[in-house]
Amino acid sequence: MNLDYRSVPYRIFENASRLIGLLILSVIFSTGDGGQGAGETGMGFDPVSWGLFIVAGLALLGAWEMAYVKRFAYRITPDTFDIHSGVFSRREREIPFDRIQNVDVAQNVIQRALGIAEVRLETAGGGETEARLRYVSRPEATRLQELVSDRKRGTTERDPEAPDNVLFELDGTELAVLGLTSANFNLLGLIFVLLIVLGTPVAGEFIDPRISVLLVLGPVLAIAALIVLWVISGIQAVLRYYGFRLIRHEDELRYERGLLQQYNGTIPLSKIQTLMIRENLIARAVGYGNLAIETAGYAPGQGSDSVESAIPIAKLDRLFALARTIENVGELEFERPPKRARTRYVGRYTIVLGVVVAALYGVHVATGELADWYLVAVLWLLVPLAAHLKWTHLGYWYDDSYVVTRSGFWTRRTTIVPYYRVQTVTDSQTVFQRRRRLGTLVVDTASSGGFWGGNAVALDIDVDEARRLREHVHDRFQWSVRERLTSEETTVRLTE
Amino acid sequence: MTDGGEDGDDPDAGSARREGDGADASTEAVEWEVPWPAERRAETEADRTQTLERGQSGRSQPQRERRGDQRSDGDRRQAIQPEHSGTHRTRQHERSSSIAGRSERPIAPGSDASAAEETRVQIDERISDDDWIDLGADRPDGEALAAADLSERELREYVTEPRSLHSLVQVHWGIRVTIGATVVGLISSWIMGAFGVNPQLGAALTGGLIVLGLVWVVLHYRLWVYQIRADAIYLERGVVTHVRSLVPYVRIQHVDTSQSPIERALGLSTLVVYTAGSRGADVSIPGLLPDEARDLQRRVKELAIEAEGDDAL
Repeated sequence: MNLDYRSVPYRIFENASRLIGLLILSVIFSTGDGGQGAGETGMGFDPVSWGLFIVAGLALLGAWEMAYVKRFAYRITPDTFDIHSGVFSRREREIPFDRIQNVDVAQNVIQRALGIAEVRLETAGGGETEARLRYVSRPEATRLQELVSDRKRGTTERDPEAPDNVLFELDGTELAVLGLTSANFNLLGLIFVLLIVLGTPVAGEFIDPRISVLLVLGPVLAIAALIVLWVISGIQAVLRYYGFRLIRHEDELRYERGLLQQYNGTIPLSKIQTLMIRENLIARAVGYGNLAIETAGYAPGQGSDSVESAIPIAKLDRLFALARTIENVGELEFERPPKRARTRYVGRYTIVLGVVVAALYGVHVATGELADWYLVAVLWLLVPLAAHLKWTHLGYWYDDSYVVTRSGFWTRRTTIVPYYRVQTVTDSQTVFQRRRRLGTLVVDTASSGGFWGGNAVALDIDVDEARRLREHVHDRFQWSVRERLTSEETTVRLTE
Repeated sequence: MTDGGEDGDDPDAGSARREGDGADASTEAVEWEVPWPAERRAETEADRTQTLERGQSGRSQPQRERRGDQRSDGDRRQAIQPEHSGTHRTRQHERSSSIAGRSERPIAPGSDASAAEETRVQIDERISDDDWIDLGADRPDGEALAAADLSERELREYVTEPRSLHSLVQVHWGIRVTIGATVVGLISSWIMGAFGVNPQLGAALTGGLIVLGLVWVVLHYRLWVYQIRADAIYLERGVVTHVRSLVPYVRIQHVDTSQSPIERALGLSTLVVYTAGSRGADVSIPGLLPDEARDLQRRVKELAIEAEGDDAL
């Protein structure tokens, strides 16, 4: 089968807009320095030759795209998805169905007008999309999605009566809450620092009196920037998750979302590594959170750092109820780290603050400026509060099938790891932790969810407990692997 | 801080075993005759007493009740004990002596050769008591979950006692530390020169860094322990941050041995084990003799093949 021919004009448009962007850039730069020389040799600004150049370029591009679409063929065999592509250098790929993790379909506004869609085939290898079909018609995309999920199961026939179980549908209220709670707290810290620096009289000694009005404007600007950022991220989130629906379709989850760029994808239940419930400060205040489902080697959507939400926003009890339909984790009763962990955070923040004060004093001694360097020490009043907040949001819990950890004040992350997804178990103790007999337990999984994603980290728990848990998680892991093996064998026997 | 290999075991298990193993009191006594460096031994012992106390105090009891369906480790081990204790201890002795014959490296650093030989034997004695607990994971019904489909006899061919690295690895790390410190020293004296500070401070800095680095090297060497268990590789390492990991065989993707130029000059080798995990996806054991590395590679490879899982994800 070939790509849809309507993709030719779109591809031309897509690449031409890129080329035109380049062209504009090059024109801007050439007028900067080389413009004079180009004029003398009689080249460059002649509109006729420019026009010819562009037309020739477009014709070439059109021919190329025609050839690309014509030479791109895919075929479905009983076991593999074959793709033959390439205009000059040919590439033939066979992707076994059981290695395909997800089939995603994306459509932006223009593609929707043309009735075409992009199909992405994802495998567990690496963080990149294994194959893209750009573009096929919308019905074909849906057909491929269905077909791959059927073949993956190894059954050619499926029950057409199988009900599509809608697990979650985003309603208006939730969309509004989503918009309001999607502030990016990484930037908040930066703005807070700006506010302090610009707002204190310390800065006044540095700044020329003529622009001292900035000192008043500074905090105002910072707050304005904060609000603008908040609004922008809110609008982004609303556009992104507009019309979100999560459907359970036999043994996979399907979701669709997006206002301008429509997107729908699948999450195979068998490839799920961990579940993560995230609540940022604002969402937590109103009792909402989001649920991320992490699969191996592939995070739905792009970006290696952020994990896309399987459920962008919902009330916490509903979120946990949904999480339990995927991983039937029991009632969570978190155990907090021992109180001496909190003392440790007081110590840690005091040290950090001490370093800052010392640095300011150093600047004072070296330059004679910053006469009020010691004022920063007042911030120490916040240290016990910060330590307590950090400590109260830490927790861990485990039972016979799951280990669950929780941490984070700005964004609280609750990670649910089934034992049979464990890769390695590690407990560690830093110098500071050893003093207080604390340790950290890290349960690693194969999920691809960025730095913090995927791993269940029980921070600063009692060191003996950490060691005991390491062995416990390991034992449970071994057992669950064996359980799954034997249960698979019995199912095979039963079907035979 | 410096806990022995013993400490890798579950504290509960440690205490339970103590209680259960009345018959082994004599060997238990021998166990602590090992000439470890004095401070290490003291700490290990202190640590053990501490875990003992913890185990016996009420704290662990509710937890065990919480894992209600699971019989305690002690029960399980008691149940298994009679079958194995007699036969395999002798077997273990044979095997350990052959290991000692092959690689004559002392397991405890800083002692003379004869003491080292003694160490080897006695440590093995201690291990022959303890390592059979690693033959499989806990199972709620109270039986040991044997790793893979190997018989216990076969498994014993594969598993090892907790081992430390070859002492030559200190030379390797020492060279690395010295090079690093020299580079830092040169750069800093260059910067100091630019700022008009006496560049000789750079030399002092280099010296200081080298001394610190060498202390780190020695400590790091002493703390490194690895063990091929029946269902996982156990690793213990780290001076500033002390890390203990378990890498299950089911999760191993492939196993490499590698030799850097310095390692080749010293006749050492490194074993690298890869998993699909997101963090620390590769685990390496440095400071092995090439034969030893190959031997470990073979063991890990075969155990990984035996430990069939679904698809390592």
